[in-house]
Amino acid sequence: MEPLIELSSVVLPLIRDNVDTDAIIPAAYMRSLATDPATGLFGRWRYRADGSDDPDFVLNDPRYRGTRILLSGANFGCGSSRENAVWALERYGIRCVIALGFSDIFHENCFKNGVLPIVAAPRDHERLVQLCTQAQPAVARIDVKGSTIATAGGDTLHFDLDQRKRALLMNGTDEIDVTLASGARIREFRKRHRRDKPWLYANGDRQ
Amino acid sequence: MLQGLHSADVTRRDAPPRSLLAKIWDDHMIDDLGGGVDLLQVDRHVLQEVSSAAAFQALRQSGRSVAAPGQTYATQDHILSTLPNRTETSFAGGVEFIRFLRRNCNDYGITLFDVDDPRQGIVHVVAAELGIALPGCTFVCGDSHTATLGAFGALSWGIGTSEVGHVLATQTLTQEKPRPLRIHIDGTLARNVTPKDIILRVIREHGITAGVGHAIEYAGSTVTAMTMEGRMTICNMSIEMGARFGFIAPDDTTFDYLHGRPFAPQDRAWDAALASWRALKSDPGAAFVRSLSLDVGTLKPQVSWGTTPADVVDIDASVPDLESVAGGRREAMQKALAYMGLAPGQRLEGLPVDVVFIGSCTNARLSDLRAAAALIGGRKVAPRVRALVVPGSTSVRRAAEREGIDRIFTNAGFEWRAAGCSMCLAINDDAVPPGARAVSTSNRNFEGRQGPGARTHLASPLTAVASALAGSIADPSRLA
Repeated sequence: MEPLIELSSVVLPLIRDNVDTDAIIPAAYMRSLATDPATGLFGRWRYRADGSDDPDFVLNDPRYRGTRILLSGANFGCGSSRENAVWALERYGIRCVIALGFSDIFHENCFKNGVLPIVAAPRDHERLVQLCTQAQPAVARIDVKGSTIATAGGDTLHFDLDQRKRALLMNGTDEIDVTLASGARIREFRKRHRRDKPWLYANGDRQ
Repeated sequence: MLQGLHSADVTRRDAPPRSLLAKIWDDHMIDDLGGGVDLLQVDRHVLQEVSSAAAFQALRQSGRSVAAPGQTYATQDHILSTLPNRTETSFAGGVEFIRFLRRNCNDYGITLFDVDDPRQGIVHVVAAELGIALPGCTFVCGDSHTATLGAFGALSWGIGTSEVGHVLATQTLTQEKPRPLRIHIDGTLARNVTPKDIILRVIREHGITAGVGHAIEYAGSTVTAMTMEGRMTICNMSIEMGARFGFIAPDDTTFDYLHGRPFAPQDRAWDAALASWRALKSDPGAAFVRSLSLDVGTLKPQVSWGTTPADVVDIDASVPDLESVAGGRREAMQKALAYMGLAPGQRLEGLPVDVVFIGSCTNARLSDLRAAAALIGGRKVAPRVRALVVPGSTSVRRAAEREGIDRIFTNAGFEWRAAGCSMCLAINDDAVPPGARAVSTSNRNFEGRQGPGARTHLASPLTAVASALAGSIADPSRLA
């Protein structure tokens, strides 16, 4: 996972609530492991029926080309647990989503892929929407270590990010390696748990 | 040491009362990682072909192995065809995933319910009927509807593919502890009103974010009186309220259902398990961050009109007026109505439908199909309506065939399909055509969920059957 320390880009405004993961990547773009998930990003909104780009959809607006930061509304990433939604954003180049809130599974999936989900306070969100929906696209700079968003308007907005998650992002940590390093502790737990609740461990022997 | 007794099961006299969530959580907590995140032991991990594929790719690349294949199961359900005589190639787009899951299960020693296995079916349906999900266990799957199995008093939740990889490699998961929320459901359901109507009503009332960060415990007299299959329907849609976890304390209904199931404990192991399971309930006085309640005595069949699972009304009601909706919500509502081809204030009953889908992990168990078939009464599916019944598992399909339910459906003009997720998410070729209106027993009415441009109305199996016969959205109680 590529470490995420700071990020600066124009902010892509997709200001609507409840952007679900079926919208972020429709199931039809998940039919092969070889498909680049970025091609499915917002697949139903981004393309016209003939497959060409829909110029009315914000992602196709040349002013936002190269964006790395997405700004949306409440409850972003609700619905299906498909991690393809985060893969699609990340492969497209988006490493930070700012929203009023996220679904639990999407939020977790972000951290596994080096994408920072920022829950913006309502006042900060309002300010960002105002800045980022002008005719002139707005640039923002995200500082992961300091937990700040610096806007082109001169604001410095703070967001909450817990220590452990910050470290995961900044170090690009593989969590499986971290857990495997606790192998002795896990084995000890399983030994005791198996003694107390053997029926949870018996199935492997009765197939 | 006494079998089946562990300190986490015993409420000490001086210990503070604990919720069921806390009891199961504490019993699986290996380590406190800080920031409200714990490392948890996973007792049951069930894989499906689509969300597991990239996890196995990564596992292979890293040279790691599967930590506990004996606690891991797999089924083919999402992308395979549901044509009655399907093979793995019937839907060509799914072959890569189906074969890869087979190879992975073979290489790592994982029990697979393969395409032609009599145990095959939708992961949440088969995990119940095979006795894989057990009270008090931690159960995960790379699918957001995994809370279905919370009906057994399990802590059961949906995870992403990276998490699937983490569980494969370690049989553990790092997980943020959710906050306990309790929903009391009381009252006796009227005829033709089902658990699906209850959960739609709950989501309608509390919204699609009420459960974010929470684990929902469903309780109350209605839940206590409910069958396991009804309880599964309720827990299934917890995620539509935003909750990753939804569960019900196990009781004799749970134990009776599980007894003798193929992967449930047997004989002396059963006795030990049962003794432990009886302690699985929230203590009196246990703290919940929120407690909600619903009286279902006067509940009517529910049907969705919009593009979120909270956009729901009584079947005899109309789409809300724009004036009744607050400013910010109004624009979203206009967008939803335009997508759905509806006008504010329009009545839903009598609206012509093109497709009726009876299936999915929400409503494709045997009791759903029995109730749906019983309503048909020799009538026929209306002309120009395509109606499908997709059983939740091959075993449900076969049991229904033994009872003659398949013929009741096919004689009426329904398609009788093979088991799978099918038109719920349209990742295979079962899709609602663009602009077509569907009544669906599934769980999501998002834009494009059942196919590009599909217009989904979520409802119970009874409302679905009534609508198929009438050719329009219909109240099962007013079937002509």
